[in-house]
Amino acid sequence: MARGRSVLIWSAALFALAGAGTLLVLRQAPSVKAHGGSTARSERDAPDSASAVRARLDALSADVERLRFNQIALQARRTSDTKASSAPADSGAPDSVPAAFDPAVYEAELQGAFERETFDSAWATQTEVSIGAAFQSPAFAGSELVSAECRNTMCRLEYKHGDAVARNRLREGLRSDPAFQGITIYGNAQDEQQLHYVAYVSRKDGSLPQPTLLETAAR
Amino acid sequence: MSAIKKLLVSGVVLGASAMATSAGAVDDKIIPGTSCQPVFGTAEYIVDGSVQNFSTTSTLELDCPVVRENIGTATPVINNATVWVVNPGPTNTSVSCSLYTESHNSGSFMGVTVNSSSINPNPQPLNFGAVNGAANWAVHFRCSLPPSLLPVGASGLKNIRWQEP
Repeated sequence: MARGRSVLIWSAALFALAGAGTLLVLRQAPSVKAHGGSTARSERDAPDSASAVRARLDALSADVERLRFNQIALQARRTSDTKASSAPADSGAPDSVPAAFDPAVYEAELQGAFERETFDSAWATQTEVSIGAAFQSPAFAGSELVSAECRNTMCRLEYKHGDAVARNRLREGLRSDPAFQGITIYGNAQDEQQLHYVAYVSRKDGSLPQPTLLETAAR
Repeated sequence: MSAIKKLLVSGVVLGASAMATSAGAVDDKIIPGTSCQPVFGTAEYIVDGSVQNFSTTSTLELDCPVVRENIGTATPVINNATVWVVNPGPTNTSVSCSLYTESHNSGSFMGVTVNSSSINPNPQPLNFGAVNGAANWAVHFRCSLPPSLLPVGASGLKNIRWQEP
């Protein structure tokens, strides 16, 4: 019984809302031609109601314009993202979401930060020796250290692998060798075979600079 | 209460609940240590969900996958993470874990390594900050459990928690 009454109330409310909407639409047409006589007469009959409806229509028109502007902006942004997503180096997986992180760009940012660093001679020299020794250990067999340079908070390494097995062995060695304990590392291949890498290594318990450009791009 | 009032109240309640949900949205996940795979050594999977190294001579190397739900995000791909480990000793050993993000073609990677800092038969956290990466990069942990110290107990990995942006 109570449920039936509730349904009745909701139906009445919906009917009333629909009626109000219809009234609004019916009154909209003459108000557009506000300079006509018939409209002037209806406004005289109910001046408060007419002005309220007109204000409501103005607000609705503004909303429509705002939505249209947003839609145009959204379409422009999507077009821009589509163009950008075709360029990044790491967009190979089947995914419509554009990749905002470009490994080569991050590497360039790290290179810039590295070059701007001051020189902690004691730490840098000692760490370069440790890294050189690590590459002489069996855990790094098959990999060649091209260069290792340390500054103040990080080191830049360049190394090459004889083959993929040596590359995997080096990844394991990076975990186990004392020279690389407690560090943050970012490695980026320089060739398609992934046998030539440039890597940036933080000081122990340190971190690498954040990719500032990428944060901006990520929105 | 009239129907209109009911409608308004319903809208307010729905809006408030939606705002509360979005304000408190934290994408945390946790997995037991038994999710990890042995890479080197013999893993002992314990009924409490942990994985342990019973060997008194060999290190156990584990690889643990981290499921990424929001694969389209970048920088960072993980906000923070915690690995709960047990390191009963001896004093010159530590449990070491690395959190890696890996590009789909193995061309790029980023890793952060954290070692346990104390000897304790009870679980202790290894805390990781944010790690960077791109859309579609995979995430995993690599952990080393040192040989067990008898009769104190075995080194182990209890669980892994991580938070995505």
